[in-house]
Order: sequence, then structure tokens, then C-alpha cells
Amino acid sequence: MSKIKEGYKYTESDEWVKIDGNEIIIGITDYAQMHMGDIVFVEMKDAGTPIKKGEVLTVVESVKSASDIYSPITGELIETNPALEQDAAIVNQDPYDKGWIAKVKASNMQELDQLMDHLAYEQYRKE
Amino acid sequence: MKEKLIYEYSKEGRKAWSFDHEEVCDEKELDQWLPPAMQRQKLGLPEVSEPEIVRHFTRLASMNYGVDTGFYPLGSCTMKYNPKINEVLANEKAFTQAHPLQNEESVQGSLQIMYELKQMLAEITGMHAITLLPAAGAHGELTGLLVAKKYFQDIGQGQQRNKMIIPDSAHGTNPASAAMVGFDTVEVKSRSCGQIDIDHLKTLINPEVAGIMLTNPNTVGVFESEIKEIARLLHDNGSILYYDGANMNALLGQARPGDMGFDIIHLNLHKTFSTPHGGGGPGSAPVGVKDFLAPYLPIPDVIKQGDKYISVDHNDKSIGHIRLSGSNFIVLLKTYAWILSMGPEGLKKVSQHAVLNANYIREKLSLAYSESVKCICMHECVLSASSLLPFGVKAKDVSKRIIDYGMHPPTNYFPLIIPEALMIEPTESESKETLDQFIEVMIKIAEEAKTNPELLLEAPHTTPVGRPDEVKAAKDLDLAYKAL
Amino acid sequence: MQYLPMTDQDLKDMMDVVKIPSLDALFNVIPQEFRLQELLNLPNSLSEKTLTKHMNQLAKHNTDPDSFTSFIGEISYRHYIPAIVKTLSSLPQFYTAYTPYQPEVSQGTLQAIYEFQSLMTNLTEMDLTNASMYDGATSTAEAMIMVCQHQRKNKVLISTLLHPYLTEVLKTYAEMRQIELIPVSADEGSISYPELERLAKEDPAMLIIQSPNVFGIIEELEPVCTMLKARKIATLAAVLEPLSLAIIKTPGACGVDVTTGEAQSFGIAPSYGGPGLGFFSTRKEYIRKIPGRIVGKTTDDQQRTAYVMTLRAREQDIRREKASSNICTNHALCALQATIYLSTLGEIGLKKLAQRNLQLSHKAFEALLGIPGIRAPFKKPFFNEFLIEIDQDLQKVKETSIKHKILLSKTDLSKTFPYLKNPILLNLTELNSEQDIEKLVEAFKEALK
Repeated sequence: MSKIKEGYKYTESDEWVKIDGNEIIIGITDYAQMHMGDIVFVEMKDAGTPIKKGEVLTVVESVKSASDIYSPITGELIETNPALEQDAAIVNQDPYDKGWIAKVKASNMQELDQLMDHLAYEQYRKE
Repeated sequence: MKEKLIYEYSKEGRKAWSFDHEEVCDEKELDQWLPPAMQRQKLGLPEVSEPEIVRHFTRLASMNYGVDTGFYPLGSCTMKYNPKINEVLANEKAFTQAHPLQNEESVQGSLQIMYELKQMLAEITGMHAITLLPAAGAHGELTGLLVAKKYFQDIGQGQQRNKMIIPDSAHGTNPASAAMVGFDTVEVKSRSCGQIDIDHLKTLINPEVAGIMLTNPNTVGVFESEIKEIARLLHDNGSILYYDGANMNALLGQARPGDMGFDIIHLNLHKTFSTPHGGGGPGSAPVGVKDFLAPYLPIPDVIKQGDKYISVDHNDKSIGHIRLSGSNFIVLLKTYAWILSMGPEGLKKVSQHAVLNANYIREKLSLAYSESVKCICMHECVLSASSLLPFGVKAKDVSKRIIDYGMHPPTNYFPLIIPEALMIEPTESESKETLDQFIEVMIKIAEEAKTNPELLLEAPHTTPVGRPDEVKAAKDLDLAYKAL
Repeated sequence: MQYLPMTDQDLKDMMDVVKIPSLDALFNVIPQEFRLQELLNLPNSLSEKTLTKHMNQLAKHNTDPDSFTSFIGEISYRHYIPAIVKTLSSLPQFYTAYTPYQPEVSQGTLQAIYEFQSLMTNLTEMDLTNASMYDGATSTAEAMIMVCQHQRKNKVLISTLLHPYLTEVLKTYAEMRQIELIPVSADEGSISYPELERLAKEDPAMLIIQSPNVFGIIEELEPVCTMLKARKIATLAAVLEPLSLAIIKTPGACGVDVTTGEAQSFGIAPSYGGPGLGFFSTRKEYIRKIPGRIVGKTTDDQQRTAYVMTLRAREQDIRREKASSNICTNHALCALQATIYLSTLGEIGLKKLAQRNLQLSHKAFEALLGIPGIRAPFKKPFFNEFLIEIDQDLQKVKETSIKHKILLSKTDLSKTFPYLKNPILLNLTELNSEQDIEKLVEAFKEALK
């Protein structure tokens, strides 16, 4: 059974979103990291890159797969988590906190209204 | 048994080369031709003697398992026997020393082999025109798809036809090739035996569809019996059918993709046509097309004028050159020899025996691997190890345990649509005793999974190395020994 | 001869198990209208003896290589292949093995590839090399696509001094990926630096340059790389005669970002064009973008050294339509031959071999320039191949050469370079000799009469 964190929002592609003012923090859920297996690499991206909703933010690579991380909003990439450059496995160990993947400055916070809350995601993943 | 790196045998002064006295240059002489600033000093290569090199590679070979070692039932790879006479014939210096830029008069033998091979492959596949240029299956797909793209551009539909339909059971190269050539891929669903869901296919047909890429029999080893209807749907839509020839071993002498409605095909000579896999290559993947697509084939081509063979290097409509020169000629030569060795009766027996062998295995293992695909298969069958999951054992573990019994595992986790898939392709060049031995081993392993799963989880136990740490390999990348 | 171990009794027993009345019944899944009613229209099965006879006959229709002296290079190079290359690569566990998906039973293949990667990485002075590709042109084309994707640009500067066949392949792949190729003109037989500087403003992803180039001339890569690097433009050097790496300052040492090319020179016979051996070496930064296979060193559960294919998440079977390339194989056996060859020649031997190549070709060059009617259009350093212009119709030169039992290339470079008058490319390797040079001089003197 995968863990789901309260208070976060969730996407259908297994990303979680934490809102912090008009900045959002994105990562992958416990379900996603379990499925991917040992994560070996997360691609670092340049700060300031403009990003549209639905575009690929970065790629998370494990031994057996490589998953695109999609941005749930339009805005500007603030940074990708520099700690992951040294040790990508943090995503497996602590997916909801220290294993955060990207921070994005949102230009339209309303885009987040369409995301699931933790109960809806739990239901989604049950199916 | 650990074997050092070749570099670790190196010692200054050791040598395995020999030059004649007059071949050794006075280094001072060279400065007049190559300014010292342009010269290179250390190369970073080892210095080893010949006996040590021979031991090193002989020991490496002993850590390898090949078709000549034992049963190698890798589904979709057709690991059949590689005839030794073909290796001898391919070593003939008149063929190996022929340079691709020699004038045609001096290579009539090589050109004749290529020309006759084209005729043979056209007859075997029911296609009209063949190119022998592509170096591997993926390269063949690229070539075939480029031909399709050029055709649509030529008839004014280039912009419009931007989608390629690909089954969810397809080999990964299919969508990768389609994407590389610039098509958007659209996935069509399969039914229970991996066959195309025609109803779903119908919803996908529209003027944007350039074509569909199919393997037949499909990657589950089952024949697409509705191929006529599929062909009609696509052709009525002005689209083309592409045939991935990976599974041609099931159809040799029985049916031809050209007759079924395919417009473009590629063959894998290193699968169906007995040429050795070499540890990953070289292979060769001739592409065959129907007449209306022939003008777009890559160049150069080999034609016959009177009793002379000519290389044609220009053609306005061609997709152009797809490789530096020539073809993988040595692979073509071995194929040519194999087809002549087998003859038309032999080729028909190939598919008969290959298909019988796969069904025999499927029948005998249906009890021990109860979740397997139940449909009558062709030259390969897909078992599922999912009935063993409750014991904590996966397809991967079954595979590793097969190694302990002296056999090579089947293909794992492909096709993606079957959970815990084990794809088994015995081919025609196995004896019944070998098949029975394999069946016995598989049944035993299924038993072991229930009574003693550790044997599987910790397998293999009998090899020079155990399961490598793939996470470490990807994280602490060590891809070369740096000598400089 | 047919390779079918099943006896009639075996077949019968198996048909009973599968519960079918005949072998034909296995194919009832195929609609009747598609089932072949007759045997394929092919020659009847030949015994091994007759097959051999037939192939020997065909071999006679090729010119006996011992009866002619060849001076052809360009895209495939004649070099002596030591006996152990063939012996060791013919070991059945190497050549009848498949791709090393099961590393526990493939350490032979995997370690040999790691050694290939190591030897080529050192030889090119780059950071890493993949497990090989089909040939020098497709490896260069794939590198072009990789760098364009990495830089997110689709303009590429391309030297006009690439071999025409290399250019043709790049054109095919560039058109496929909607990459614009911008030619950079030549100046006196090598790339024009001022022209390059000017075109750098087009903001291309990279420059593709061949060295030694089509005329055999060594390009000065260092100033080119330095200038382009300052403008964040990558340099890709293609090498079709890799023996040059043993004597000339390498692309790696000059600062290029990617070195690709053809490694057929290393232990693989010309074989009328293939199989060849593409190599692909890059700087560290491209490590996750490289197409093709790559082998890494790791350990197993008992801390023993083990080799395994790695970075597979990039490959077609996992990423499918998002893969960096569709390539599924490598030319493993050819890479093995190159590995054995490079181990055999080694640090000292390969350099001495390159020196001999350099010496012979320069002796030939000087001897030919002594003949009135023969000119060298360019006076820059070259390795083992050079260009001359001759005051005689090329057809006549070729016919006269054949009379003297000399093989010249069928390439006519004046088609690509109209400013050249009756150009002839000549390549000398250690398979040629001082006597060959005398023969060549005699033949050309006669042609010019």
C-alpha cells in the first residue's frame, strides 16, 4: 500500500503538488517511486526556464525506466532539487519531503483547481 | 572465475605485432611530413604478447553462452543454428578483400550474390523490389518508414499523413523508429491473444494515418487472422501496411506478407536466415516493397543488364543514402548460402518444425504455468509466470534459475501486454530431446518456486558472476578504463 | 544440407501431444487464400559440397585480390589483419551469442565491449565511448541528431570536405529530423576558418567536420573548436581512417565535443562495404543522451567484478517513442575484432603502423609529383591518402592502370568539386610497398603519353 500525504494536491501522472504562496513544489508520489524502482538520476534544469502546463519539467530515470515529470501549471521554473544531483535515491527514500523534484513560480494559480486532493488520488490509485 | 582486463596484462616491451625490417620508419624522417605540433604522443593502449591475448579472449569466451553451447529459446530473436560452412564461405578472400569503391567489372561475383539474393527474398516474401542496404532491424524500419514518408510527399499528402498506428504489443523499435522518422504514434489495443482489436482500429482510421506497423504472427506468437480486413481498412483509407519481419520464421514457405497485403516489409537475416548474432550484431535487414514504392528505395541498388551486374547510384525519387557504403555483404553472403542449402522444401520444413516445437512446449507447460496465453501459437509461445507470484517469485527469477540448469532463459517481460511474460521461441534446429529437457527444467522450477523459492531468488548459482548490481552500474558510472 | 534434427517419429510423437493430424494443420490459422499451394520457386537444396563449388565459382568472378595492387581508401581501408583476430572472434561462444541481456551468462561479450569502449576512449582522448554502431556515417548522423536535441537547435554547419557518401547520409537523416545543413566552404583543401567564423553567427547547434578530410588532409581542429566553443557551438569530428588517431593529435585533444567514425580499419576486412564498425565517443556531458548500447562495470552480490549493459532507460525497448534513437543492436562481433586488433597492435605497434602508412603515402606523393602532368592542388599535411590532379582523361588513366594491374577508386571527385581537374585520390597502407609505388609511377607515365 503506497503512502499518500494529506494537504498536497495530486495529478493523474502521479505527481504531488505543494502550494507555497504563488510558488509550487512538485515531486512524485510514493506509488510512483515504488513502481520505478531504484532511481539513479534526475535531470537538472536551468533556473528561469519558462514552462507551460502539461510540458515536461524534467526526467526521472531508474534502472528499468525513465519517466517524464509534467508541469501541472504554467509559469517559470525556479529550480530543480540540487540535492538529487548527488543522490537521486532521496526520491525513493523521502518522496514527499526531501525528495522534492522541482519548484515552479505559477502565473495562474487557478490551474491547480483541477488537481485531485489526497482522497481523490487515493481513490484514483485504487482502481 | 575472474578475468582481468586486457590492460592489466600490459607490460612495457611486450608485443604481439611484427613488422618487416624495411617497414620500420626512422621517426626523424616523419617530421618533414607531419609537423611535430600535429603529432600525437601516448595512445593509451596496452602492450601484450600474443599468447596472453589468446588466453584472455579464450577465457572470456568461456564465460559466454551461445547457440553452440545449448538451447537458447529467446522469443522474437530466432536463435537457430548458424551453419559452419557459411562461416568458411564468408572467409573467401575474393569476397573479404573486395573494396566497395572498386569498379563493377572487378566485383561481378559479389554483385551476382546480391542480385540473386534480392530475387530469392522477393520470392520468399511476395514483395516486388528489395533493398539489401539496411544494417539491422531498426535501420530497416527507419528505411521502410522513410520510403513511406517520401511516397506520401510525392503524392502531395506529406503534411497530412503524419500518424503511424502501432499495436500496444509491438517491439520497442517500432514506435522509436516511427518517432525518429517524424510520425506521431497512435496505439491500437490488442485482444486476449495479442491480436489487433479491429473495433478499436476502426476508430483510429482517418486521413492523417500514414499506415500501420504490424508483426505477423504478432509478438505473442499468434497469427493475425483478420489481416485481410486490416489491410482493407488501411488501403481503403489510402494508408500503407508495414510488416516487421521479426517473426518470419513462422511463415517461411507457408504464406507471404506480400500476398497478405503488406506494402513494405523488413526481414532480419540474423533471425530467420541463420546468420550469427555475434553478441549483438552485425545483422542485416533487407527491406521489400510493392512496385508503387520501388522508386523511393535507398541507393545504391544492384541491377542486371544483359549478363552484367551493375551498381546504380542515382535515382531522383530515392530517399537517398542510408549508410556509408555497400551493404553488410558478409551477412548477405551467409544468407544466400543458407537459402541454397535449405532449398524450397527445407524452408517449408523450417516453419513446420518451428511452429510444432513451440506448440509442443506450450502444451506441455500449460499446467505448470497456468496463466499463460492459451491460444494456439505459431513459432513462439508466451508463458506467464504470474501463477508463481504468490510465492514471491517473478519471471526474472525463473529465468535466472533456468541458467543453473545449463540453458539460456527465454525473453523476459515482453510483450508488455502479458504480465510476467516468458517468451519462448525454440526454432526448428533443436532436437526433441532438447525440448523435453527444457520442459522438464521448467516444470521443476515451477515446483521449486512453491517449495523452495530461495533457489530462484538467489539464482544463478553456477555462473562466473551472480546478479549484477544494476543500480550501482547506473549511479557510479564506470564505462571505460582510462589509461592516459 | 538442411539443419533439421527432428525425425519423422519425433514429429509424430509431438503432433500427438499437440493433438493435430498433420503439420499442415498448424497453419490453419492462416486464411486459405494466403496459403502457398506450391513450394517456393527457388533452386533445390544443395549439398555442402555443391554449395562450396558454386560459391567458389562466384568468387572467381571477383578479381583475385593477389593479382592486383589497390590504392583505394576513402571510406574503407585495407590493412593487414593479424591471424588471431579471426581465430578468436570465431570462437563459437562469441559469435553465436545474442545481445547480453542476461549478464550472468554473457560476461565474455560484456567485458569485451567494455574493453572496446576503453580502447576507443583512450585512442580518441574523449570521456566515453558506446558499444558501437553500424558504420561511420550512421554514427555521425546519430551524433548530429543527439547534439541538435541537446542544444535544442536544428541548424548544423557542415564542412564541404566530408566524403560525399558521408554527406549524403547526413542529408537523409537531417531531412528526416528537419535539421538544416549549412555548408562551410573550403580554402586550399581544408575548412575555411573565416567562412566558419562568419557562419557561426547563424547560431547553429554544431559543426560537423571530417579529419583527415575527403582529400586526405588533416584539418586543424584546435583553433576551430576554441572559436566555436566560445560561441557555445559544439564540434563533431568524423574520422573515417581511425589509424590516423595513432599519429595525429586527436580530436579529443583538440577539444571536440563528439568524435564519431568508422573503425573498420581495426581488424575488419573491407568486404565490399560491410559489415563495418561505427564508433561514437563523447564528452561526459552527453552521457545520458548517447544512442545505442553502453556497458558499465559494477559488482555482483558477492562483490565480484561484473559487467552489465547500463543506462538502458534511454533505449528503445523502455522509452519506445521517446527513446533517443531507435537503435537496438550494435556491431558487437566487429567491435570484438577491433578490440583484439587494438590489443594486438598495442601502444607501440599501432603507432609504428601509422608511421609506415604516413611514410609510404608520402613517398608515393613525391614520386608522382616528379612526373610532368601531375599536380598536387593542395600542399597541406596529410596522413595516408592524398589528392593529385592529372593532365589526362580519368577514363584513360583507369584503363591504363588496369593494364598495369592497378585498382583505382571509381569515385570521380570532380562531380562534387567541379574546380578539380581530373582528380585522383590515392591511399597507401602497409599492404602497399615501394615496388607498388614504382608500378604506379610507370602506369601514370604511360597514361600521360
